[in-house]
Amino acid sequence: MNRHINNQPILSIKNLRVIFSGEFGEAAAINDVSFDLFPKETLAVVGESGCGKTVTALSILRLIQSPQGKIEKGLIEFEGKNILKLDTKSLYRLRGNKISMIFQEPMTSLNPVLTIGRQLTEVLVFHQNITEKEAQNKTIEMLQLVQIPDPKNCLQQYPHQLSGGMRQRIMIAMALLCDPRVLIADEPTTALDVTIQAQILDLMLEIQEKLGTAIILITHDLAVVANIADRVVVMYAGKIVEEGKVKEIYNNPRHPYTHGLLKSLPRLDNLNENNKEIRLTEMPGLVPSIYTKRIGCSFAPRCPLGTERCRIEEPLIKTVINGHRTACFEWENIN
Amino acid sequence: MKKDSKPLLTVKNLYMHFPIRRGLFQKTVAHAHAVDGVSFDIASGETLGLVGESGCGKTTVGRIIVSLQKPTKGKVLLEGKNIFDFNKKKLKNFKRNVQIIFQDPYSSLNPRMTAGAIVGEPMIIHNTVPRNEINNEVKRLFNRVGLHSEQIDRYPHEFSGGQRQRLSIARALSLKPRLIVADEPVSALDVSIQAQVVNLLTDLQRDSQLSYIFISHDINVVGYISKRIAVMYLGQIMELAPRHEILTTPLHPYTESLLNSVPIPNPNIGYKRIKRLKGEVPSSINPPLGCPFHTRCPIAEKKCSIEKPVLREIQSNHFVACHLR
Repeated sequence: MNRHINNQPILSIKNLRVIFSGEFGEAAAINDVSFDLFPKETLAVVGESGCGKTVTALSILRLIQSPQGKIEKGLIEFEGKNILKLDTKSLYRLRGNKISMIFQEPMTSLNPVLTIGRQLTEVLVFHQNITEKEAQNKTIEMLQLVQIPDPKNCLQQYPHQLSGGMRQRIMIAMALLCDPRVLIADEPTTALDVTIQAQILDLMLEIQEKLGTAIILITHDLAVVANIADRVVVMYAGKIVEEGKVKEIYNNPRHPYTHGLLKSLPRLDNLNENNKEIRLTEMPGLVPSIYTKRIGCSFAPRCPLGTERCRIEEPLIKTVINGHRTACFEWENIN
Repeated sequence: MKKDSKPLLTVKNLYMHFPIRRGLFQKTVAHAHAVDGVSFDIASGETLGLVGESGCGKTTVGRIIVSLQKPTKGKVLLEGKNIFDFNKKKLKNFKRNVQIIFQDPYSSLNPRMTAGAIVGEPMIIHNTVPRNEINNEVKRLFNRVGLHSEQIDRYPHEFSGGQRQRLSIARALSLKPRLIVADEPVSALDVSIQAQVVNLLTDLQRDSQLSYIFISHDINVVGYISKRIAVMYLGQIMELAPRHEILTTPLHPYTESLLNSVPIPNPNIGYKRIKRLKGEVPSSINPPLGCPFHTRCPIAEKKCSIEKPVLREIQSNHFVACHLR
């Protein structure tokens, strides 16, 4: 677990701020987000809908829709270069090659009018200087790696002929074709059934062991995170509220939001022997809209530990214990 | 459930085969076997969980129970009377007793009606409350589900997902039903809001002897709210037993694999890769002969691909459809 300590991060995000302008005016979807990704690790970015986790992922590849969305401030460093300053050509060479992405919807992220083979070999022909034939062979190899039965036949098929689980395998294969250094997976299993989810998670871990790719896993599912991540970044209302190693975060959460989130999970390992009724721990209130003006800590209105200070002053994220960061004044009072 | 107490609702041998039509004359070329012989009953004040993966027929069962869909074959009995024999008047009366909460709180509320009108309308249609008292009753229901009475004149789009689901619950409660079919009521909600809605449903049941059929793909949530759980696969019930037995001593190999696939939010136990199910759910248009699960079953024998196992009581109140148990 300590493998990143002596390592240099391969991807470094610093003070990222992304704004969207809509009919209600301008709002920051993410604000002052900073984190590092180290080689060979799986970093999970978790949070509820609207917390900015997908916007963070999209910013890394500069996929934020413009002109509504805009990366206003910040730095995304990859291999010594700031991605935000790259010209279009270098950006194309980066996307799908050194950094690739798996999207949430395996149903809609493949092109329905092209065969699987065409969509996969295209990636290789574009990024690497190889012939169509070589690309095809490499594609078949990759399809075997993601455990597609009968890969040769699969190349001739169209996306609608495959199930959701198979399509997600194709997406993973496509993302891995150029042997990327960073794989961003945005809710890769959310649309799938649990038995298929288990297969896909197994596959992602296996591939990481084999290829050593660093993974950023964007998800709302804390159970998935507990199973496959090394480190966790917890986001709330566009900001990072806590960051640390997965065991640290789950065993000793240092932010009341993380603490509340973990307690509100229905979990089978907590059910008691007799058939007595068990209550889930509720977190009162709602996630604030990004359009509401805030002063102080954005979690303060829902926080059981909130004080007068929390309502006036915004807590900045700081390291409290080795490698564990939190943005809370009251972190010592969480039991 | 106790044998001697009369069930509130009984489902008997329910079949739903949807025709698949093709071509110019919309000829029926095949049938999708959405529900294939489902039977269970539910007592007053009980929660029965229906759990299964997408396409297993759980939602169709729910829709048939509230008579949104007529089954191909089979009966739904409310206190012993088949609802499909009811005339219009009796059916209306039945609908008062059995209500449904839908999965998607965004599309199941009329965007042009105010929240108060949505909750009040059933009482006007069924004439259960005098007109001049409807406003008070709506206010009472709003308070009951944790909404503010100032929100009565707002429109659905002004509510968040969790609040809309509270609104759906208030609408379902407005007729004082005896059974609520909750079809994935918390799947569209965030974790912190999910707990609020699950607790609300539990509280309402304690206060008024409501029965729930709780349909979900999430065995964690089903495990929390249900007294008994029915596990469905390809239109059939594979196992039906009290919650604790399903969760700790599952007898059907499908239930066991399903539980093994559910990730547990605890990083200390390590990631298990045991007893993974291979392959995917077969198509319901051409379901496998014999046991529907035999194509993925880790312990299947020859018999399983020939003969369909029936749901039988192996231990007291523990029903399993498997030849090998």
